[in-house]
Amino acid sequence: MIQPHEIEARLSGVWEALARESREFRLVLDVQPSPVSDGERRIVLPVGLDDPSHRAGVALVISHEDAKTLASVMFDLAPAALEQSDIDDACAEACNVFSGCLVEYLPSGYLADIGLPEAMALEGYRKVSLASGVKALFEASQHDRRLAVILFDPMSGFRPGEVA
Amino acid sequence: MHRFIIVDDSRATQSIIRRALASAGYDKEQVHTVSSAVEALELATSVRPDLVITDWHMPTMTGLELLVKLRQSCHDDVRVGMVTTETNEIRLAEARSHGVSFILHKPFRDEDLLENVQRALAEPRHVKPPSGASQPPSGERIVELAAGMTHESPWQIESIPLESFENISGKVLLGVYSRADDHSAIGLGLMDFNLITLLGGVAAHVPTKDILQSIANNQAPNEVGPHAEHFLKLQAGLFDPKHRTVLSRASLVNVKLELLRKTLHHHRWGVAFSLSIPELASGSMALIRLS
Repeated sequence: MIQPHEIEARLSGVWEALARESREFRLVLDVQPSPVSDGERRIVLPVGLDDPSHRAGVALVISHEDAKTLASVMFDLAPAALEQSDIDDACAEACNVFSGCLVEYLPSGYLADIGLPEAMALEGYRKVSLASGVKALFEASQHDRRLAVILFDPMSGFRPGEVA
Repeated sequence: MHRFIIVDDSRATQSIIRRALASAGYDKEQVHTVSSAVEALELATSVRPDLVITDWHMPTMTGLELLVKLRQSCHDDVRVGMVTTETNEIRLAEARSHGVSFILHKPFRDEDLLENVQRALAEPRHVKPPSGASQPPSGERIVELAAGMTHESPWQIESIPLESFENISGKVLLGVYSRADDHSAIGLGLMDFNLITLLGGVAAHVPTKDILQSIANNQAPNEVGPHAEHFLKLQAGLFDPKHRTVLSRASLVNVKLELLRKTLHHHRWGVAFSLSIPELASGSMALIRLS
């Protein structure tokens, strides 16, 4: 089983590669139901496991400010030149890449079936986070900019197509 | 002048790859981007690319399916590279068996992408491996190999449907076989937990009662692993007598193998056997020849 410090290093490396900014992800040991707010984006990616009735998921919760930084670097555009769809696209891709770091943390992650990321509205995400089990939460928040990657296992309440 | 098609449902990643190629001096006009594999198949006809760089996880058609479709089409010689978050070793092996030029994991550095692109372009266009080179191995040959490494134990073998492996859950030893010359993956070998413990245990002189107890407790002694892996190594020669084949990777994985069925769309042949030592125990194994 892969160790949490290896996941932390991978997630930090992904952020640095995508956003060209150094942020250290840390495993949050005492996971409390955290308030979700309109000041951030939520992207969820389902992960199929060996048992078809068992689904896990990876969520990226990212502040609007960090989302803009990310998109600006990935598209090589000034923040003012970004369109909403650019930011959505960059966040979805970041969630996809983060998920690749986390699947080995699942018991049978070796053969996990990575799905497609979807942006979620506040209420939809709240439902998922309340109905799902949090296997691990890695956070690299800075000041009031939240940046968190959450591994749900099992993940429940996710309805593909319920996009933001 | 090289022509590229970049296939990724993320415009951000398309943009990153385009910039990397432009920074290395490739003509921007010859770098085409599409968001789906279906569009890529259509575009390949008019563009006739030297290299397709594709994502894996996309709606409607995956990058692996695109690779297979290209190999079955009139563009069967096109070079294909993959940029992906996929880590599933079986799926990666399947991509390699279809002659993928490179697999690069996201996020990647521009230098790594360019190094792979340059190497791929320096190689000849994809050539289909000669077909009909091998037949599935016989049970007798498997028994010879098993007996040879277990002090001539009286193995018995019975052919079982490959599909029976779909219902096995728990730990299996998964081996990936590759050609020694070009490292392309050509096959998979699987041993279930019972066979790992039985064959590895007998080879390692583990007392019979301990082997039985290990199987009952689903907990193999440490010494059985290398012997089980050695058995996989011995089977490398069964895949293709005309080309030297090696066991390139072996891992103990915890998996319900129904996933294998979903994954292996295009194997050339697959065989499964139940191997037993009378009055001791039995276990199962499978060998799957990819394309």
